[in-house]
Amino acid sequence: MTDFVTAIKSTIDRYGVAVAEAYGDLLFLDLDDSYNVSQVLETDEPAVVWQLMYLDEDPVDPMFKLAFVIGAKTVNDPGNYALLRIVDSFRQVFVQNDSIDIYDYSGEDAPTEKLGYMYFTGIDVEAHIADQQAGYRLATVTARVVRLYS
Amino acid sequence: MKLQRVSKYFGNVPLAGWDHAQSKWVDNVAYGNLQVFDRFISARAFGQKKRIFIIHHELAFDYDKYQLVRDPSGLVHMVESVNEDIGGIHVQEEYLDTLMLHMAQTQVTVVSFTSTASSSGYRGAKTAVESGPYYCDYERYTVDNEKQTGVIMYSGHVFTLPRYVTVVADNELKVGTTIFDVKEVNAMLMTTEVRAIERGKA
Repeated sequence: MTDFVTAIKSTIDRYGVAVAEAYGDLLFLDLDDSYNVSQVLETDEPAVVWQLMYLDEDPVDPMFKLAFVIGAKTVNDPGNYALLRIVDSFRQVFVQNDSIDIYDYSGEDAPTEKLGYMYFTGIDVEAHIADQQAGYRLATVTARVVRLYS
Repeated sequence: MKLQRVSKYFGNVPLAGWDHAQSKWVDNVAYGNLQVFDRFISARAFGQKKRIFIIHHELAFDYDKYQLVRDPSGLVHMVESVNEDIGGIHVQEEYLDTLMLHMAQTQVTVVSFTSTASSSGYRGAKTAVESGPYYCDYERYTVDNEKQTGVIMYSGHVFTLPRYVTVVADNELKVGTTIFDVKEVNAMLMTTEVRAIERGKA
């Protein structure tokens, strides 16, 4: 189970990094990476952020339900246009009724073994969250995950 | 008046130069005259940290190659600025370079960090890479006086390093076992000024 969770996380990382790079190589952070998050969110650097909400067997392994939030923090962004543009990009990446394959991207070498796939059931833009320096907005992505046994 | 002759006559103090590319001292890179500089150089440091060195223009050394020099007493100085004499209608030829030397008595290690990204693109854990030690000047000061215990807590730490040492705001500095988090890096004449906070004391 542990390796499969890592694979799911690294797969979301990979798609998130691609969006972050498309917007001028922004920082990409897992909000559970508390050491780096505390350093970065207090600065004036924009960032793409995400966090795994839950991954539950539904009803049992190899089928799961998954939810995560993903979005961005921008600064010097009057009207939050840049912010919403980034958040909207995730609607193009995690498309409802579409799926992506799951590989374990946590190692340095590119993976070759397909471990499963996630089928997206929804993506909803959530309320704006403001901290002292900047605001960030997240979208909640829900998916069904199927694990493949070789 | 042949001013060149005067500067040559008094240029009898030899300096060794630190070749930072080769990491070695080279003896006698310059002969000049080492003079005192008896003024305050900052709000907190007195003139004994700085010296004037005058050198005959034609005997000037490569100031970029030798950013650190060592006087005959063994003290190490940074070349902080160079004022070359400019020839004009009254002075027919350049005769003297005036150098401001800034004493470098402390040795500091620069800690930078590298990371290798995973194939997902997420950056990996940081790995510390140490370089140095480098000669530098170190000043510290405080804005808080702890009157009850008499303990002085230094809140500001300033390192002045030769320009060839690369420091960025992401780095740490180590002096002995004490670690400083770099907050600001400023180019100052021919040196680099680094403002830092002592780890665990801020």
